[in-house]
Amino acid sequence: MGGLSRKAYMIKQIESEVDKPVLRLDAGALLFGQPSVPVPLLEARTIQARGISRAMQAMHFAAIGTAPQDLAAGLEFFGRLRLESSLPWLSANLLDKAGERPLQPSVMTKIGETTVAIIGLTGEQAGNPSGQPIEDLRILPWQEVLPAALKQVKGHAEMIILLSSYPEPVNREIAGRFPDIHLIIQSGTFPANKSPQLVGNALITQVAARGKYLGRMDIDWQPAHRWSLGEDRPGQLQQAKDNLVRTTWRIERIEKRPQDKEGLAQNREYQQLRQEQDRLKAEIARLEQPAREQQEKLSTFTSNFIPLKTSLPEDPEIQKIVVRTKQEIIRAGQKKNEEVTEKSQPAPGFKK
Amino acid sequence: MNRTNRDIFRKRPLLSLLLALVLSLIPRAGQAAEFVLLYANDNQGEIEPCGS
Repeated sequence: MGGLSRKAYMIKQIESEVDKPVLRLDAGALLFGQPSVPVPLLEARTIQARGISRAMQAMHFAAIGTAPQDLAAGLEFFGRLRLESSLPWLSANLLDKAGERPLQPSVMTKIGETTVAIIGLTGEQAGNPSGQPIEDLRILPWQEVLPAALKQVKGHAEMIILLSSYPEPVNREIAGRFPDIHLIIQSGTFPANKSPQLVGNALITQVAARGKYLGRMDIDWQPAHRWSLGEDRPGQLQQAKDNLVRTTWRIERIEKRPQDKEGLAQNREYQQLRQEQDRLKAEIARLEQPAREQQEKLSTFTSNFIPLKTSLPEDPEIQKIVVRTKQEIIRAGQKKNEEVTEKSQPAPGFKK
Repeated sequence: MNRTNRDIFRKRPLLSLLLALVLSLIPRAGQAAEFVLLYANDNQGEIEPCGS
């Protein structure tokens, strides 16, 4: 299941069926499977990444998030790839060796009558704490960059979408702290499709790995810029109340421990719990306002994940790119084998 | 006189067109909008279907 040519076919198919504008986004972890590539596989994998880049170029995505996996062959290779194509890679928190931002933090796009701002956030690599140099690049913590990135687009866009390769707990925290974000599309290691789930004012969603599905949301975006909670509003309120009780209990337990006031200020778990407590209180206050919902029409959506079955037709343009990429990989492998054989053969004239 | 009236009559469709163009250029903030979002993530270097 999966494949770029079937994805392209499906996108064109949907566009021909609907009479609404279509926005295409990719949250990243596009080029490589891991944040690093073993040296023996580097050549084949970079050829493959080039092929993917060419195919994505032909599919006209409005924005692509940059995950640590996309930088697996180093920032230099990534830079060369960007020169070869004009893919709209985004990252608000990626810095190069010189401390410069190599990518745009956000992009504005018009979809029908709606101006949509898309921001990219690169998740931190496993084993590399935030802010530490990783070869030729540095990933800044989201707390440092996101307020400024949002300030830049707020007021100019009617909808703000975040493409994030941070893990889900972080994205939930982001959604809780920044109600200006309306949708978060995650990339990472989550293995299955994740239907849009409301956290704060944002829906969080993700498609299963390895290009097996295409996510689709049919959105009716209303001027209130808030999602309708539908039938589950009482359930969400109860869940938020239960979470608040649990969080408050944990806070009180830490406060009862013998320690001075500075100790609490430096206690990271305590500070995170206090933030979560504030977020939950704000969420409960919002959920307890039924009158407001009646006054303003809220935005709605339907969502599904389209399986890219092998029985689907392939897009001929992308199929050509895939075939050419495979041939390049085979040729590179043959060349490598020839070099190894040449090296292992005895020098001419050498006889025992 | 007749000629002038005919000219005005001829100009009407042009005026309507101009008016429609001006109206379409006025920003329509705060409007509801329907659109389709197609999205993906974690392609993980795959170019072909898994297992093929």
